Order: sequence, then structure tokens, then C-alpha cells
Amino acid sequence: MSKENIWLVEQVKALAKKQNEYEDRAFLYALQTVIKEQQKRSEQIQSELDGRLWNHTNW
Amino acid sequence: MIGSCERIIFQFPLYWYSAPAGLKNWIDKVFSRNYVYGDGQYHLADKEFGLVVTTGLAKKDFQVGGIESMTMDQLMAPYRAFAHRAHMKILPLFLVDQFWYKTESQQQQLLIDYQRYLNQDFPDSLANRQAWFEKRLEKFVDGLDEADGKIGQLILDTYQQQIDELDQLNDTLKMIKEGEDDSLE
Repeated sequence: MSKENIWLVEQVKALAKKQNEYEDRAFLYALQTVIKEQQKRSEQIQSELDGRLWNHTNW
Repeated sequence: MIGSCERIIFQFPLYWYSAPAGLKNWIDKVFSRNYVYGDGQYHLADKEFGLVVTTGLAKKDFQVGGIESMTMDQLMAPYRAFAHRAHMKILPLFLVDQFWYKTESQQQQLLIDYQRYLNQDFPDSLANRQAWFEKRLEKFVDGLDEADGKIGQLILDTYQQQIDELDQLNDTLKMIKEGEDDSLE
């Protein structure tokens, strides 16, 4: 995960701990899942881009 | 009232592989043949149709080779036949199985997944999920006190930035793929 992504997840986690409402804690927990998924998707696309750009058969 | 809804969801506990009699009675009374299709107009057309089924049985039992030997989708065929006849858009089934066996985190995730099932755009792509969370996060940050509001806004800004970056990556990949297709011609 990128530094920014790790920071974002930590901030959301910290904010979640301060919430009194169960629903708010649940929302922030689920938000962490989406943020991690964004990072995973970003890594996958970047890998695919690298693969395609460095594919000499297409040069 | 039904006419003004964009999404109709039948939610019920599984009683002998179907909905309890109360829901069946309601369906039979409310959805007359004329209303659904009989008068030449499809009053439910293009509305989305969803199912939320709760059960104490395990999800894994509902598959070929499982204890129940058929999938939940197979069991819900009559409801789908109704929605299909009414020209509705059929959403995937939302199953809540063995709720009390779930961990706290799983229950929390389920709560939010359920809320998304009610009003998120389908299909359940990352793009649609991101958008749903973005809207909800905006409202959440608005409701924070001053102390948490600043960090909340920073979280929102960073989250939106990540969405933009992902969009740009997707566009770049699309462009490269199209370029490869062109060069094959």
C-alpha cells in the first residue's frame, strides 16, 4: 500500500474509534475496505500498464 | 406509492424455501394482472427488483452438492419470473445467512452492504461503490464537530483524490489497449 493509502486508512480507523453511533463505526469500517480495494486496483492497473508498455512485440 | 419507487425489494425470512404467507398474500392482493401487464402497459417496467433473504441456515448449504442441494437463486425463481414478466431489472439476491454466527466486523460490513443494496447504483462495481461512499462521506463529514471536522475534510479530500487518480489510470490503460487494437488492423 502507498504511504498515502496507509495514512488514509489509519485516519479513518482513528475517527471510527471516536464514534458513539454503531452505524457510524460500521460506515467507517466499510470505508477502510473500499480504500484498500482502491489501492489494490491501482496496483493491478499499474502492473498491467507496465506489462503493456514494456511489451516489445508492440513497439 | 409503488409507482413512484425506483427500486422494489422483497425482504423476508426464509420459511420452507419461500417467503412467509403474509408477503405472498400482499403480492397477490397488490399486483393485479392489469397493473403488471394486463392493460398493455407495464407499470413496473425498468424499476429495479431486489430480494433480501434472511435465514438461520448456512449459505454453503445452498449449492449443488450441498445439504439443500440447490442454490438460493434457484429457490427464488418464482419471484424472478414475476419481475421478468413485469419488465423489471433484476438485481442479485442479498442473502443474510446465520447472522448471529458472524463476527462484529462481519456484521458491521453487512450493515453497510445492506444500506448499499437499498440505494447504490448497480452493478456493484468499484466505481459505483466509490461514488456511494463518497456521497455518504460528504454527509458524514458535514455532521462532525469542529474538532473532528478538519480531519474529516482531509479524509474526504484524500479519498476524492484517490478516486481521481484511479480514473486517470483507467483512462490511460483504456487508451493503450485501444492503441494496441488499432495496430492490429
